[in-house]
Amino acid sequence: MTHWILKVKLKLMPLLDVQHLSVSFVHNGQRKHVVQDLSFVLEPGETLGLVGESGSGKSVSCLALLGLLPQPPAKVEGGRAFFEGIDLLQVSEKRLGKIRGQSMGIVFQDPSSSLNPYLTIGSQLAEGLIAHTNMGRRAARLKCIEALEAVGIADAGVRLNEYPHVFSGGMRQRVMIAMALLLNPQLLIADEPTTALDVTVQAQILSLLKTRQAALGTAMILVTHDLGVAARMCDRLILLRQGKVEEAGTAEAIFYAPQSLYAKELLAAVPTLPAIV
Amino acid sequence: MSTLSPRQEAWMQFKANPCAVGGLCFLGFMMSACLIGPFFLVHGYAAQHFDAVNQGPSMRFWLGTDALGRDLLVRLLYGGRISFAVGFAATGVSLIVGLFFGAFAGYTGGKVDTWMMRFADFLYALPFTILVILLTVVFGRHFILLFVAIGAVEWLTMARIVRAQVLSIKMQEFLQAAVLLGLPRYQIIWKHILPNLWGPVIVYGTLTVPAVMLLEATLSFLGLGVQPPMSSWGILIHDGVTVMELCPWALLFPTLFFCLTLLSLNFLGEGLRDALDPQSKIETHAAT
Amino acid sequence: MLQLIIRRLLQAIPVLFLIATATFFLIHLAPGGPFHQERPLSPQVLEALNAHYGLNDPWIVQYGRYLNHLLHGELGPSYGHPGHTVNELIAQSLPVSIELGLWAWVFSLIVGIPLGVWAAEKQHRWFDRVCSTVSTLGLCLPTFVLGPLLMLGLAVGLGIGNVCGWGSWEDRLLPVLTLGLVHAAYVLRLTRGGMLEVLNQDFIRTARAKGLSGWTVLFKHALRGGLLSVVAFAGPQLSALVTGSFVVETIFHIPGLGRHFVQAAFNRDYTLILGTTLLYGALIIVMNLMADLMQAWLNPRLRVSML
Repeated sequence: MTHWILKVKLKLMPLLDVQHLSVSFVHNGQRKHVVQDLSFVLEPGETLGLVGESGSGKSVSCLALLGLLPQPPAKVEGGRAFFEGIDLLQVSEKRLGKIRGQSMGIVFQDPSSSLNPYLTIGSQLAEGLIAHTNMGRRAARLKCIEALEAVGIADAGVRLNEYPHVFSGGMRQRVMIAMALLLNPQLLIADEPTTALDVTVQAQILSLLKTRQAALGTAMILVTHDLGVAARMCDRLILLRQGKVEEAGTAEAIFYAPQSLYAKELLAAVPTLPAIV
Repeated sequence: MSTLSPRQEAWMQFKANPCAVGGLCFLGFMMSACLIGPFFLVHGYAAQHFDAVNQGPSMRFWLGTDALGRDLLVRLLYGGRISFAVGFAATGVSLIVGLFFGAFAGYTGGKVDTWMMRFADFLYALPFTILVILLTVVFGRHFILLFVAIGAVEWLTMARIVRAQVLSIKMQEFLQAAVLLGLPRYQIIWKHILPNLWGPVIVYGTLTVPAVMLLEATLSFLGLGVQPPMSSWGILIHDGVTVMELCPWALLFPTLFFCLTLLSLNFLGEGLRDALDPQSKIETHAAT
Repeated sequence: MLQLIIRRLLQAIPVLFLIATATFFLIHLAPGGPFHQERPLSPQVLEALNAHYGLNDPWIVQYGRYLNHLLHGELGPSYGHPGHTVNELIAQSLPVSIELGLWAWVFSLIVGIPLGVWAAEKQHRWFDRVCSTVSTLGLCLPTFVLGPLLMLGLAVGLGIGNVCGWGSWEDRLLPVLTLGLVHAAYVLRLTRGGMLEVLNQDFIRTARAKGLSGWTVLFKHALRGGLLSVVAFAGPQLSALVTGSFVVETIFHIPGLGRHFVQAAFNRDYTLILGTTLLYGALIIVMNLMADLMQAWLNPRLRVSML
């Protein structure tokens, strides 16, 4: 009976409900607020874009949700963040680790430093699986091969035994995506996933993210400073500036009818191709 | 906050480091004590007082006397002079040799650089302390030769650090711009390369002093360094060991003087490193 | 890998040859012969001794003879220990020095690495502060200070360990502690520094994002990279411990190679100095090679560039 009620409740609840998140950093003895009063809701399967210039607090808010901020110097000042009914900001480190590995995946900005150079790709992929499921090594290996093939890496069985330094930047980011989606998480956080890549590779990685997301039904938070990327990928956008929400709404609304001055300025700053033809 | 020049910023950072400032103060105190202290003390460093052999600290002999009835404090201060003199002189030698060798290799580059560094690598493979001992065997045990010998061994790391720094400066765009402007070579070296070398050179130089003093004390302890009746901290520690059960202060005071000085020098060097050359990987020396 | 070992060993031959040549001529530059003592020997005896050891021949002849012996693995007779060859002396004393050095090495690693890892994990907490302060203090305590202090404190004060000799384990305790503690301080600092550097890197964040436990992150992901500098140091350190134990051997009257070396330096025992210097050079070369191999094993990126 209660189980049934819980299920209904979960169905009614959004996947992630962030309320009044505030984060500060201590620098040279001074406290500086980098995220102030950030609230948003994310439904299953939806894509939310966090957009802003560098230093606007978009990455910090994601890291705060994941509990990956180095504390100190960072400090979560207040707020709540319910993920499937559990407050990520209150839950114990052990519990959070479990949630992080199983239900949330993350792709970081710089693929050249996010993979451990001392371990093979295979062992880095498999360790999450082995830690969170009771899968054996053989099964884990098969699953990893499958995951690498799904992100477009050929010869996956061979490449599992290789070290990150023989992979190109785009390939490493593919590995990161495979790693993040390995356990079919409900939420994927992509923190500037294409910023460190070539323009041609950027497009490939973005479309890969989009297809994988559609195939698995994962919700995604996409952090980017690139309005073009945001427009292409996201259902809804939050525009951040100096840690505060400047504007929030559907992608179309912000693009075609921006309300705030900042949004208008930003849109005006995007270079457009002059109509030659 | 108003903008500070890099030098002012380094000084601010240095001042904020209590260990480094404490080390600097202690060193200042110790060096001035060694330099002018003996003038104010009544006992000579070789004067023997047979009525007071192996005595503990007293009003007459503040830190006690040794087995020959000599005042320990005076001997410590005189020993300090030798230790500091060897430390600074040998560091100076290593600094000059290392600076020229490293800067020349790094600036010239190419084959010359390769061979010069191969030569340095070859010297690196030699057993360090053993080389110094060999040199003291060959050149006798005069203390001036001692610091030449130590300096001749210690310059290797200095040369490496300078060369690496010169190479990295050479790669930078402001230098290429200077070359493109057609500035004369001496001006490029003097105005653009040297000012960028001071940081690591000062830091490593400061860290070399304790290493050299340690080496000198080790040699003197073994009897291969400064010769009696002259005193040195190494000799005093050695003398202290022979009588340590009878009069432990004869071991404790020299040890204290020596270790505190080394500690302050290391703190000072680390403070300077954090202030002047924050990215550097220069580590303090391993002790022998 | 085998190719690398062979190449490095071949490179060692000219180095050793140069060491032999340099030391040979350096020593012959020195004033005073091996039989030049405080109490002068009679001219006849001196002449007979010089003739017996061939010291009257021109340098170049002596040098040629020495090299010839060297090729046959003979280091010649010892001048300071009549009736003994240098080979014999080394055969007796080298195992002692190696054992002392190895124990001290093992001690410094066993103590230094875990403390360094733990200090890095607890950065800025009291444990880290204590470790950092004590290790800095340890760096300023040279062996010839630490040895006597340990003698005074442990052996004389508490009756633990012996102050001289090399027979039972009680004899070994104090020398090993003396030699090992200073190096343990250094290992601790290196470990802490290396670990801190690695722990701040992005891939550690990735590992934590995977929800791995703190221990797995620390030992599987961070330790390898964090220990690189320790391994780079540990090889030369072992050779430094084996070759640098002469102070400890002198203090504790241990019949090792270092003590022979110091005495040979006093007595101008040419052949013994030459022999020990060569041996030290060879030891350093071999141990540096071992350290490089170990590093390659730990760091896959280096593995490629070395082959």
